[in-house]
Amino acid sequence: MIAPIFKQISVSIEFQYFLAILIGIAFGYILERAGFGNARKIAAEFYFDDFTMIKVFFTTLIVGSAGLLFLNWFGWLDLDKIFIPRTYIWGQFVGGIVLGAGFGVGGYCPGTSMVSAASGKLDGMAFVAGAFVGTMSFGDIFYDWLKDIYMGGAMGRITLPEFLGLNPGVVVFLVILMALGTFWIAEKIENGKWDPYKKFRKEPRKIIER
Amino acid sequence: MTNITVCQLEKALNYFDHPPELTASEKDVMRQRKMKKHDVAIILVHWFNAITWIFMLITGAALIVSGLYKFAPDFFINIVRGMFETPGNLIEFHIWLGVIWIVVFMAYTIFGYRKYLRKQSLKEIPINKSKDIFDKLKAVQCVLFGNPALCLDKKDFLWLKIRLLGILGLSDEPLPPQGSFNAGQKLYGLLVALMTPVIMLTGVIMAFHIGPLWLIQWSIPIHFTAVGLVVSGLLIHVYMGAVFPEEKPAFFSMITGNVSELFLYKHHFEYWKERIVKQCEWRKKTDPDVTLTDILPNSLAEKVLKKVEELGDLGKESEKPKEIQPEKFWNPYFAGFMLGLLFLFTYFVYGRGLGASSFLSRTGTYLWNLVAPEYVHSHPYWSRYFHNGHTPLGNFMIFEVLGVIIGAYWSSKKARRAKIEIHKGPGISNKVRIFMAFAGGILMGLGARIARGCTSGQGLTGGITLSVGAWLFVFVAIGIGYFSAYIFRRYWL
Repeated sequence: MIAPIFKQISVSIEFQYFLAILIGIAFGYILERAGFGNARKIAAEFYFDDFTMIKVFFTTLIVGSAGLLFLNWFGWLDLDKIFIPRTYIWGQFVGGIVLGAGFGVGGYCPGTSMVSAASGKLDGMAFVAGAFVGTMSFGDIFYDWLKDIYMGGAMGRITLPEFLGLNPGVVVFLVILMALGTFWIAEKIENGKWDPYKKFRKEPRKIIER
Repeated sequence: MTNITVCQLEKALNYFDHPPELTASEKDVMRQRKMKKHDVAIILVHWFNAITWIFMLITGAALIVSGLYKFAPDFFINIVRGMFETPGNLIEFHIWLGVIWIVVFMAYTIFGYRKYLRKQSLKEIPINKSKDIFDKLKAVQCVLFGNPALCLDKKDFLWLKIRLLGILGLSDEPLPPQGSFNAGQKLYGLLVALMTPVIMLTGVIMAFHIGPLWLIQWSIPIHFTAVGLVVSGLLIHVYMGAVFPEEKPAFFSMITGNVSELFLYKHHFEYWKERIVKQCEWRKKTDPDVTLTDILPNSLAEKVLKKVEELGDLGKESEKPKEIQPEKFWNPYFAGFMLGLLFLFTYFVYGRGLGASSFLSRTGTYLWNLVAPEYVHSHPYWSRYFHNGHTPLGNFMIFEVLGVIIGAYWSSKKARRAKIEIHKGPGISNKVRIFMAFAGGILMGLGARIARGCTSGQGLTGGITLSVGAWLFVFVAIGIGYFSAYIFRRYWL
C-alpha cells in the first residue's frame, strides 16, 4: 500500500499546502465549467428544468466510490487510513434540513458561492457573507442550544457496507444502479413535457447552456 | 412640438450640461411653480432627529467631565447639571432619550426596508452593461443603498474636485450639475449612515455595560469620535440650511416639503431634468396636444427644439456591436467524471476529500483569536482548531479554498463569464436577490456547521467514502431543497 502518499512518507508542510492550492484551482475550475457559478442553473434543479447539479453530483459519487474500491483492490490505497466523515445521525439530519432550506432561499451552497463570488457575481458575494455570518453564529450563538443535536446519534466512523452488512462491491454496485436510474429519470424530465411549475413560470422553460 | 417624444426630450435635455440663462419674467414664473421634494415621513424624521441631536449633544457635552475628554466650559456643565439637579438624572435622560432615538430609527429602518424590498419598479442600473469603473461603483452602491439619488457617481467626484479647488482658489470652472442631492450632501449622508450605527452600538454598550471591560472602555473614544465626525459635518449642514441665503429654499422645503422650480433648476439641474421628463410623460397621457412651451420657459423650449432638430431622429437606437457570447458549460457527466478523478487524486495523495465551508469557520476563528484569544481558546466549539498546537489557518482546507477562488476566476475569465452582475429570477429586483442570497447564506453556513460539512465536505466526501451519516445528509438536504424551492418559487421562476 503506497497511498495515501502523504501518510506513508513525510512531505514538507509547505509542499502539502502548495499542492492543496493546485487541487483547489482544479476544483474551482471544474465547478465553474459545470455552471455552478450561476445560481439560476443550480436552482433550476429544483424546478425540474435543468438537472446538471444532480448529474454532476452522482457522476462524481460513482467515479469516486468505485475508484476508491478499485484502488484498494489493486493494493494501492489503504482505506483504513483515509478520512471518512463520522456519523452523527441527528447532526446530519438537522444540518441537512437547515442547509436544504438555504438552497431554496439562496441558490448556492458554500463551495459554489465562492465560485460565483470569484467570477464577480454580487449575489455570490452576498451569499458568502451570509454563510460567514451563519457559520460563526453556530459557535458564537447557537452552540449551547444545538450541542445535543450536534452530538446526537453518534455512530463513529461507519460506512454503508458495515451498516448494511453487505460487501462494499455490492453497495457500490447499488449506488451505480441508483445513479443510472436517476440519470434516466433526469433526462426524461428534461426532454419531456412534464412541468409541475408550468403556471408559475414567467419565462419559458430552458436549460442554461452558457 | 406635439411630435416630440419623451425619449427625444430626455436626450435633448441631456445635451445641456448647465442650466441655460433665462429672462427675468421666465424666472419669475419658475419661482412661482412649486415642486415636491420631501414627503411627510422624511420631514418628521428629520425634525425628530434634529431635536434629539440638540438634546443629546447638550446633555452629552455636560456628561463629559473626565480630564482626558472634557471640552465644554465649566459654566456650561454647571448650568446643564443644575437643570437636572443630580448627575444621575442627567445620565438617565441621556440614556433614555438615546433609547427612544434608537427605537424610532429601528422602526423607520424596518418599515423603510420593507418598502425598499418591495419597491421593484425603482429604476435599476444595469451592472454589467458599462465598462466604466465609476458606473460600476455607482451600481454597486445602488444595490446596497437602494436609492440611486444617494449614490456617488462620476459627476459627483468631479463636483468634489472642482469645489475643493474652488475653495482653495485654484479653479474657477463652473460646478457640474447635480441630481436631487449634491456630492457634498451624498458624502455627508454616507458618513452619517456609517456613523449612526456606531454611535448607537457604543452608546448601548456604555449605558448598559454590555460585554467585557475592554469593549466598554473602547466604546468611549469610539462614541466620541463618531459623534465628532457627524458634528463636524453637522456644522456645515446647519450653516448651509439655516444661514446661507442661497440655500434658504432648501430649509423651507424641510418644513413644507416643496421648493420652487427655479431652485431645482439652478441647484439640482439633473434632478430638475428628471422631473421635467416625467412631467412631460404624464401630461402627454392626459392631454395629447400639450406643447413644450407649457412645460418649459419659452427661451429654453426654443433651445431644446433646436437641439432636437439638430440631432435628427433620436427615437432610433444606434445598433450596438453584438457581444461575443460566453463559452458553453461542460457536459455535466464530463464535469462529474473530472470531479470524481480529482477526489480520487486527493484521496490518493492526502487520504482526505475536498470541502469548502470550514474555510469560513477557520477564518472566523482566526479573526476571533486576534480580538479575543482567551474567548476562542476556552470556547467549547472554536477551541477545536487549536488542539495539538494547530492553528486555524494552518490547514489543507484554507489553501484548497484559496485555490478554488483562483481556479473559478481563471475559468470564468477564460469563458468570458467574469463580470460584475447578479444572477436572479425574472420576477425580483436586484435588492431582493441580494437580501435572499445573504439570508440563504446564513442558513447554509449554520446548516453546514451542524452537519459537520457542506455539500462538498459532507455530501461529496462522505458520499464517496459511503459514510452512513453523509448519505442521510444528502437525501435530507436534497429533499428539503425541493420543498424550500417550492416555497420560494416566485423568487426563481
